[in-house]
Amino acid sequence: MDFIISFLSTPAILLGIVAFVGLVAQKKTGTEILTGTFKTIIGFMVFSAGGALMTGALQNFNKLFQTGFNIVGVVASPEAATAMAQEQYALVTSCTLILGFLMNLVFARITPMKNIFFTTGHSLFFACVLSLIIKSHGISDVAAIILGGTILGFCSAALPQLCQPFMRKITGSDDVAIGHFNMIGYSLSGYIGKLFSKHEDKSTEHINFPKWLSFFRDFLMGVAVIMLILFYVSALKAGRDVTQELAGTTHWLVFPMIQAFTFTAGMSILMTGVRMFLAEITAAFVSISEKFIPNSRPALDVPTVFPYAPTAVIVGFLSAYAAGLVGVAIMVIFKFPIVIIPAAHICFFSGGTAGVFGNSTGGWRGAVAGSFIVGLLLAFLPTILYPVYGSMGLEGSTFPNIDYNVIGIFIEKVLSLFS
Amino acid sequence: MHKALVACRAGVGSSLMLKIKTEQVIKENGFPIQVEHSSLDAVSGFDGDLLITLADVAKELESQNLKQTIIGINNIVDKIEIENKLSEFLNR
Repeated sequence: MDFIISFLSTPAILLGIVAFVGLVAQKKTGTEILTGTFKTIIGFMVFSAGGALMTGALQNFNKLFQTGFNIVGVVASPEAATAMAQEQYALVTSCTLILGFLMNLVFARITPMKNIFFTTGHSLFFACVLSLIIKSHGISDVAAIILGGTILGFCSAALPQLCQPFMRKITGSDDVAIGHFNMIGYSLSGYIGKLFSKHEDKSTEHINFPKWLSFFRDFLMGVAVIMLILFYVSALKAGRDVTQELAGTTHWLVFPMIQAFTFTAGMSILMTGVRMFLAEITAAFVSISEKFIPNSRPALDVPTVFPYAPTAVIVGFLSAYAAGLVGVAIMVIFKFPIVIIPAAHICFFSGGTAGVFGNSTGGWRGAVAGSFIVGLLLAFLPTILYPVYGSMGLEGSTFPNIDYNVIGIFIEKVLSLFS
Repeated sequence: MHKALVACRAGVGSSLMLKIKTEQVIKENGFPIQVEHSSLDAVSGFDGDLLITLADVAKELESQNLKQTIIGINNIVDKIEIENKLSEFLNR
């Protein structure tokens, strides 16, 4: 009995079983089933290892930043935050994720919101957010999974609907939805763009950007550059003695560079792991939805819309990152208890998409304004829930995404009424 | 038998769907193509002869003088587009 409980409560194995069932249902061959199941399990281990690497580097950054600036600085990267949450609430999170998939199918089947959310990595982050908030109210595991999974499933089907009017405009068809949990922000960006509707034809695509800016399109490069800057600024501000103590035998001016690249390497490993452990589960999810939910629409990750306005992506990234830096300044001046430091890759994907949405309704003016507002939301929304995560043992990182925070704050308020 | 790599920037969301759709097209048409899936980081070490990615990424890769043929897809759930572009590659 102990064996079975331990076996099934290991998230890697649990996800492996889900992949196994999916592969069997798709009538794959024996070797394919074995390979797919093992890859899912290995992928989860790879994901955890990458997370551990990121967490270690982040802890060093936090020490330097706090000593240097006397404030808590938080790098808003959902990958790192998820890795931390997975260490403590792995079972609840994994079960919430799986139930979320099933509930997504149920809601798509019985409501007119026919969106199937395929950005499974994002579902995992959301499952973490929901588990953390619900568990912080001392609710039992089973109840937390049922509540979290239902909310996750509902959001997966419902939120893409907000973006659909703009998706029709951007892609020229109704057969793809966006599936990325900033959907409240993206639709907002589209509406903000409408304020500039008389300039709609002055698109970002007429702007010629210098070639080197496409450097940031490789998201690891963006993360590396920003982390290098952050680490060096913090190390120089913290001073030689503090940095040297952390660095041990490494020279104190070499240490920040190693840490910045370590963080980036962790991110790369983590993404590789996510890719491995979600590949089979996503494939099963696709085949189920295509079989059982006719006329459903796949909600896909944001690069889906990048080909329609590649320059708007760069505009949106720059504008959202600028908003994040304005946010840092405001938090410092008004003495916020924490400072949310914008993460490069989040601003790239989320700000870039907001740029595409704003551009579709209001040209380059819409792209700049829409993604700037989204950047501000990415910066300020996490400050509200940070204390909750802090009480759950998550330090130095948080979830910036807009939908996580809007829905999360709502759940937090509702649960607070009862407890 | 051709070897193809489906890749995008982060190699998680959109390219996974592209891979699934590409595999469906290959299966339905019996194309002699094997598909692997990864992020752009794997492109440099890839020994096959075809890269399948999103249209905007394809544009960037074209300037890098890679030895593979690059196919850029605009609408990743459009099986007809994928089928046409794959046929074109096979009939070169």
